[in-house]
Amino acid sequence: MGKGIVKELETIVGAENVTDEEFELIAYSRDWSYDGPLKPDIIVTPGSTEEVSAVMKLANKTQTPVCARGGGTTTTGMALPREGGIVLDLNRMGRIEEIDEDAMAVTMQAGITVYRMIKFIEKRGWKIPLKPKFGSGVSMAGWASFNGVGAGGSLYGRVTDMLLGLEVVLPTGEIVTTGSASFKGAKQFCRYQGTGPDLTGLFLNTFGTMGVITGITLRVYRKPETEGFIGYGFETAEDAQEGIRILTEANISYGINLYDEEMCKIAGLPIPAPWVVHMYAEGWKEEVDFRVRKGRELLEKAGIGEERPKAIPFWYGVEGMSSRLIPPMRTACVGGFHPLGITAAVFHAYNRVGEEYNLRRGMVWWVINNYANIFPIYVYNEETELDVMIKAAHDLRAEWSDLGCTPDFPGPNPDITDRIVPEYLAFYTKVKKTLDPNHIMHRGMSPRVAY
Amino acid sequence: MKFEMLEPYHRWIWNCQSCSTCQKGPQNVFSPAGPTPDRICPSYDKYPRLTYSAQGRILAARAFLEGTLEVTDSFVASLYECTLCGSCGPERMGRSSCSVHRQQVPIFRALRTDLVKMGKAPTEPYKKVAASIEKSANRFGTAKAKRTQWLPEGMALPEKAETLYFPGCVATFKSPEIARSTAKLLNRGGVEFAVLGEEEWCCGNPLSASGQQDAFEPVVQHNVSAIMGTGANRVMTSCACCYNVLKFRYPEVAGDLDFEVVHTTEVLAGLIDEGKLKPEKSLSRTLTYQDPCHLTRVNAPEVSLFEEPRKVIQSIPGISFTEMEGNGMFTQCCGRNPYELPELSLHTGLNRIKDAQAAGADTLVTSCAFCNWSLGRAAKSLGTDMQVMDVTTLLIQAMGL
Repeated sequence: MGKGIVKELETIVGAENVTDEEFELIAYSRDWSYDGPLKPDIIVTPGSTEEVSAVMKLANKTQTPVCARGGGTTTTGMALPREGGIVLDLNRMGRIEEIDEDAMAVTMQAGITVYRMIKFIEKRGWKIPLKPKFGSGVSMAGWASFNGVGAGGSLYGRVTDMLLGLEVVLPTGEIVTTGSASFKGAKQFCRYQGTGPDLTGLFLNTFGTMGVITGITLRVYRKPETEGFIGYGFETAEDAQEGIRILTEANISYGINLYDEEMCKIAGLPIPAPWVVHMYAEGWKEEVDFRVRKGRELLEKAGIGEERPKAIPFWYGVEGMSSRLIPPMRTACVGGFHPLGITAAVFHAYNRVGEEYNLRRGMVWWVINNYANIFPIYVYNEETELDVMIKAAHDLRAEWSDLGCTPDFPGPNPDITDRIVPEYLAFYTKVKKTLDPNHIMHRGMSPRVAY
Repeated sequence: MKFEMLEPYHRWIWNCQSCSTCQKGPQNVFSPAGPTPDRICPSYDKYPRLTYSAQGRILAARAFLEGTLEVTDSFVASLYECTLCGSCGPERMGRSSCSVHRQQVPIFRALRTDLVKMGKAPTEPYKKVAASIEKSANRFGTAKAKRTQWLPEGMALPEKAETLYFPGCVATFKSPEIARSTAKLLNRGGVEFAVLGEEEWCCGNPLSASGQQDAFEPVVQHNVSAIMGTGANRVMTSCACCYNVLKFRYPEVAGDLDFEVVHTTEVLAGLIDEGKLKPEKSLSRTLTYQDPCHLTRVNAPEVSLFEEPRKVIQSIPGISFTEMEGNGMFTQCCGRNPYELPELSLHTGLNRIKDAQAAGADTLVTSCAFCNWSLGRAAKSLGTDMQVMDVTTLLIQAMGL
């Protein structure tokens, strides 16, 4: 990549915010996945939406690949530049713009970390419904673009279900605001309104392939009066599946998750049973008491599990999952979504693949409304078992696809393009080519589009 | 190029999962341990690129071991833009939240040592400090003869005593009121102590921290021999860096020490407990306390000194004590190196002064001469009324000495 583009970028964002030094490129050559090293040619750290826009216009004009990066905490290599070019590090854009108590909404620059935003609003008596568990660097842009989850998902869904609107820089450099603020004179207070279809959704679950998210407005909620929690132990995956089905169908919980015994060990949680289901409730005290009591009643009546008082909430036990392991062992995660009714089958497939490749493993699920989000962990030695783990991940993805699961991330690895229905892929291709005519954004991501 | 010091850390380096936990906080806000501070790494806070985080530096270390990266001057400069405060690897709820398991500081010291051996490091300010130490046995290049100028007038000290007071360069030359106060407090508490005087050399921390191991080792040998000559079985330091290096780095060079290393606050807290020091003068101040990183997080958790300084402060009548965001294991760096890293030190110190203001304090107390220097400089630069002082000078006021 020529020095000319570096000079132009320096003019846009300042020389101190551009570098192409080798040791700096190496610092950006990995993310939390098993992928890499994949180096960019240039690193740019913009400080404003206008700077992002100018960078995108230049990149589009010169057909330079761009990879937007927040915390770099994706698990399948989506923060890595697969064909060099520019890495756009958004971490300088970390300001809360406004907490609008009338609209019950918070607007922020998208480079802010999720936990920093939560800490900010909680100090003011507000919350978002999800309690995510991840590293401190996860940015709001990243969390929104992979449509993250957390405790609270069984009632509230995923992060984008509470998202009111976005500010996005398109691959061609235009700045667009979606949501109610797309109507002249209106602030950001609702997502769906009479200005046409939900174009916010174009940028969610995309990992930056459709543009760079620079601003986010989220719905906020008052902190509840109290919270409740119960933990139940089960002897088999089938019983645990029935347990989460009962709780989900009853619509009494705020959050539900499920772990196997091995996951408890990896995550540092007590191990009260081979399978553990957690149910969370929140709200007014009488309401929480009722929900917790009802959950107990329903599970007792089904006669498939026993309450385990030693169970503790997920976010209490896990403080850096990989830090529980003795180096050089580390973890990889290949997630997905599935209907609740195949939970046990999904586990058995995962277990079978892990056994075949002799990998230590553990699994946790979040229930999201009516379905499940799986976080399967394989433990491996990067120096000696990386290839084995990657093969296992590919096999697992294939087995799960056959069962009717969908992938959670549209990442590069494993590529899932050939599993997408052709008509949908053609439609996606049209949209992608319209927004990103020179194919500069996050090259190599699934679904892969032929230009 | 050989990275002999770095190589033993291979498995830790490979275990960095690029999870970003070392860059900025807070960590898991839902933990029962509560949210951690918003800032984690002072270097990343000043220069917000991965290169200036533990993650970026460890990836560079890995590339060196893999032979895929050449050492450049700009890399060396970036590597030294780190105060080794250890904030990138704190423990919470009894364990590290990072897969490098608190090995970051040892890795950076090892890499610096290798680079020095190759003739590629350290940076100029560290070289100048080393030259001063070689010439005058202190970091400021001040004449050795001035080592005891801080001694309170008329105070006579024995040549040998069970306790040896090691004030260190900063409390001797930069902030002699700290050494003077300490001496008066020991005297009042009935603790007989000796000092090394001109035989006290810099503890060697600037050499150890910058990887100048060949210059560090003779300093260790000299100081250990001088200390042994006094017959002391206990060495007390004013500075957290002296404490850390004497307690943990010296045995790496000189083997097991025949003396215990303690910090001033441990001794003072003991004297207060025993009723030998009774601060009776009421001080109407709202105080907060800066935990020095090298008394807390950088040390092994079992020797972290959280309670002793607070005990000393809270023994003073009339004061109102408030904690800053970021204390104990999650303390935030003071900036540490006003000379070697002037910009980073000022940026970091300013952040800490603002933390003290946010806590509602009018006085920021610390128990490290380096913190006192760095924070005092930042407060002056900000033009604030915030008073920065060492715990000993505070206690002296409360004792009316």
